[in-house]
Parts: sequence; C-alpha cells; structure tokens
Amino acid sequence: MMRAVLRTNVNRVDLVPSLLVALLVALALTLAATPARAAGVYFTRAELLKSFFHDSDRVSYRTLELDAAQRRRVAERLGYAINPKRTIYYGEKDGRVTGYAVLDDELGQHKPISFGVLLSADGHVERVEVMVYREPKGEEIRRAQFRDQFVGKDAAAPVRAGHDIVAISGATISSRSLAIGVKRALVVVDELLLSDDRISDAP
Amino acid sequence: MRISSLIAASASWLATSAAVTALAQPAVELPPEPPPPPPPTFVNLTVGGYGELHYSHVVPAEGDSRSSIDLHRFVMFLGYNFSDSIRFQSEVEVEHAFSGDGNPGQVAVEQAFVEWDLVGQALTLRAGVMLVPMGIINEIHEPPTFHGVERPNVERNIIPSTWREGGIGLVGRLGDSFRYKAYLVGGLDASGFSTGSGIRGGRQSVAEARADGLAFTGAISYQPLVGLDLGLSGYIGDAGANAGARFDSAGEPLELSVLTGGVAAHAQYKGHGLETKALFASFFIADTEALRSAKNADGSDAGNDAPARTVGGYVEVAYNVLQSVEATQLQLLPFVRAEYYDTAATIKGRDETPADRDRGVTELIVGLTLRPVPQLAFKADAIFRSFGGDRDGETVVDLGVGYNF
Repeated sequence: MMRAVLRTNVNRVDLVPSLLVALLVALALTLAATPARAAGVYFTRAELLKSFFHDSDRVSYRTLELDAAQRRRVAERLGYAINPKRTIYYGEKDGRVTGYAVLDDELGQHKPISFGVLLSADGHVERVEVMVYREPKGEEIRRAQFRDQFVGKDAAAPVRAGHDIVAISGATISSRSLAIGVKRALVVVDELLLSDDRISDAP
Repeated sequence: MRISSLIAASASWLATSAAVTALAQPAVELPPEPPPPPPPTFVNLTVGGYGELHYSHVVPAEGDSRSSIDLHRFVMFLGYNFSDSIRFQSEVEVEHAFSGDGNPGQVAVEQAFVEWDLVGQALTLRAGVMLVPMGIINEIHEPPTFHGVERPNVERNIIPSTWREGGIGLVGRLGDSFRYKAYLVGGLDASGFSTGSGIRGGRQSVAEARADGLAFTGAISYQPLVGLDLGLSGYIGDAGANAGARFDSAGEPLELSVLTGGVAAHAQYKGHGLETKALFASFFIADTEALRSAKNADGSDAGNDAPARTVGGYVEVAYNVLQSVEATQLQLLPFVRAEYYDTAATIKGRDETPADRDRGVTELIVGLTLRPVPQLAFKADAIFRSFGGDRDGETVVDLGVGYNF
C-alpha cells in the first residue's frame, strides 16, 4: 500500500475508498475486541484483584466485623464512625498470605469514587487504583504521580490531602476523598489483622 | 487484496490477546456485588457559597486614619445537573451587604452558564455568563484560597477581577496535566477606560451590554507536577465599537476601533506546607489619542483619558508553621507578598503628568492566615503602600474572616 501512495502515477481516487473501508474494518474489530463499558469505569473488581495479586496462586476474601473496642479505636483514629462489617481480600501463594486489598467507595463532590488499595502483608500501601470515577471534575486523581504518593504509607501516617499528600491543583475535593479512603483502608486492616488483639472470623 | 490482508492481520492480533488473557492468573473468589451506595439527597442540585467580612484601618500619609467594617461579599452558588453530561452553574453575589439607592452595596450575577460534555472531559461546550479565564483570582477567589484580607490589587486593577462576560466557548482537559479554555464573548466599553483604573471601568458585566464589539479570550493550564499549576492566558477585543457614537473635532463621525488586548502568566505551587504564587499581567489599549479627543455630535467633549498600557505583577510566599504537627488539620501560615501595578504605565498622545506617575503602586504585604479547617480562614495583614510619583505612601492594617462551602 505504501508504494501505491508514493508512486505518482497511481490514481489516488481509487485509494480513498480502500483506505476508508480498511479504517472502518479496523475500528469495528477494535470496538468488538474492547469490552463495552461506561465512561469512567477503569477496573472491575475481578480485574483489579487479578492485577493486584498477579504473582499469587489465588485471591480470597474474609468478611470481618469490628468488635466494640476496635470500633471505638477506629473512630478515634479516623475521626468518624464506620460500618463495622468489612470485607478484606488477600492473596495466597505457597500457603502464605502475599498481601491484602481493600475495595471501597468514598464520596467525591456528589458521587462516590470507587477505589482499591493493595497492602503488603505487613500493612504498607503498595498500590492505589481508581476503579470507577463518576463525576465530571476531579478525575486527575487517576494520575500516577498523585497515587504514587500513597505508596509506602502505613496506618501510623497521617495520609491527609494538603498535609503529607499533595493535592492536585483544581481537584482538591477528589484528592481529599481518595486520601480519606486510603487512610480508612490502612486503619481497618491494621485494627482487624495486624494489631495484637484480633477477633475470629465471622461465620 | 489489501483489505483482506488487513482483516487477517487484525484477526490474528485478536487471537493473540485472547490467549494472553486466558493465561493462568490467580483464581479470584469474590463476595456478591455489594449494593450501590444510596445517592445523596438532591444529588442533582448543588448549593454552595462563600463570604468575607473585612475590618480595615488605613493610616494615610497625612490626615486622620480611618477604619471600616464591611461584609465585602456574600455569595451563593446554585448548580444543577440535567444529566451526566449537561450541567448548569451559577454564582450570585451581594457586595457590601446593603444595596439600593444611597447604599454602597450591589447585587450581581457573577456566573450563570450551562456546560455540555461533547467528548467526555476533552471537549465541553460552555455558554452563558462566564468568568474571563485570566490570572488566578478571577476564577478562583474563595477567601480561604488566597492570603491577605483583600484580593491582590494587581489582579483587581490590571486583569481586572471580578471580570465576567457573556458568550460561548469550549473548555476541556487533555490527559492528566493540560487544561484549556477558549471563549468568544462580548467586548469591553472603551468609554469606561481611565488612567486611574485601566480597563476596569470598561467592564459591562453582561448588563444590557453593548456587543457591537466582541472579544476572544482563552487560557491554557499545565500541571507538570502534582501541586504545581502553570497558566498562560490572553484577551483581544474591540472596545471601541461598544463606546457609542463619537465624532471628531470637525463633526465627522469617528469609527473608533479601540483594540484592547492583554496577557497574563502565572505559576503557583501548593504542597508540603508551602504555598507560593507568581503572576504577571499587562494590557494594551490602542487608539487612546482618538479616544481622548473624541467629541459628541454637538462638539462637546466626549473623550476619556485612557492609558496605552497597564502592567502589574506579584510574588507571594506562605508556609504552614504547623506542617509537622500531624495530629491537627489546623493550619497557620505567615505570608509575604510583593506587588507592583501601574494603571498608567504608558501614555500616548500627551505628556506624562505627576498624577500619572502616582499610578505606579508598590505594595509590601505581610500577614497571617489561620485555617482551622480548609474551608475557613481568619486573616490579618499589614500593607505598606508607596506611589510612583511624589504622592506619600500609606499603611493599611486589615483583619478578616472568610469561608466557602
């Protein structure tokens, strides 16, 4: 095809319908190959967990409940009360836990932001991803430079936008929301799984 | 033929990618999909606002000092989401608390526009009353976002904030770090230009504004680092066409085309306790000689004394001294700002007078901002103001409180 385009004595008019059809076919095949999804949906739960635990053999979950003492401590650490029922995912490889993940929502300006946090087995943030972003403004929090700020944080870190997390200029509300969500994931995993007194799994 | 080979190539690409996804990946056990969180009440309607109360004590070069207390602004935002991609946004303001005959206040619509996302976030149509996208303060002026009780005078006098126009335009975000705005709006009225206030008096505020002269304005914003915002904006318009009928000294109609244009550039960084801003702005006004010597039909004077150029800039640094205190979200920021602005930087068609030289103003502002929460600020500042000519300087002390939600 390239030779036909470069050669000067080729009738260019013939080329146009061929190129157009080729373009339409390529577009149709690409659209067919891409799963149809709503604007702002970046990961499904399965996709994110597979990505988080790509090195593990399997990913499971536990639904745990904070006891009264834990509920009080969490409320103190976060500054607000939370639903005591929490679902925590974990990866397993060769019988060992490779890490934990929390999938959660946090309210943005009007609508919730769905996100996932990957934590190492000792409770440090390894990765933060935005799963679904539903609002017209503030989507810049998906930027890797912003999310990378959370990497390495543990439950003792403040994890506060405008403090140890630099907010994105013009996206302060969504910056704040993601930081609140990551902090909550850290504190919950710390209270339920990593601190000294633990409770048994819910039946 | 070439098309069949293209189809074959696409098919084999598809087959390969399918094989990749089917590779052994961790088996994932999922709980049932949780129910979606309930939408907040009135999710389509937004109500917000900001306001600021000022106390000001002016110590002039000579004469008595004077103090005032002013509810400078009380603003309500009202917005509505017609759909996921069509919205309405508005801002109504009451200035100086009490408007009406004999009272200093005014009620004004500062913004009222609809937005329609044509191509996601990359291309959005905007139409209505919009803020001219120049500088920092004109678009982002909620009190907790700037230091000092009053807005920086450079932005007030040169840009001139708050500057809104009626029109239509396109805005969008390209990638994660690049935003643009481009508007076609009604123009300024050159008969309001003056050496005392630059183009500020030429704003028509979309109040039965003459639109025989239009203007283009646009801005680009680039964020190479999280927390760093670099902006460049421009304006060009015909202010003469909106000035009304003018005649020359021979009684012939004057076709005044007072081309007015300007540029503003800024950089701001906010992170790790540091808040710093730098801004430059300048406007040119063409045909000021014709504007100055214009007459009415009956030969009486209808001119106004406008500068050929205005210019201004400032640099500001603030730091949160409580940055290392993790337990609190209280922020205390001492700041310092150096400003220069001149609403009569260049005069054409007549000699410069001492009054013109007085228009060059240098200000050194030091102050303190206390933010118990990010949306509330208690402010204090001292302004040391000096004038370019022989006019003596003055000192101002301000206290203020401002909020937004």
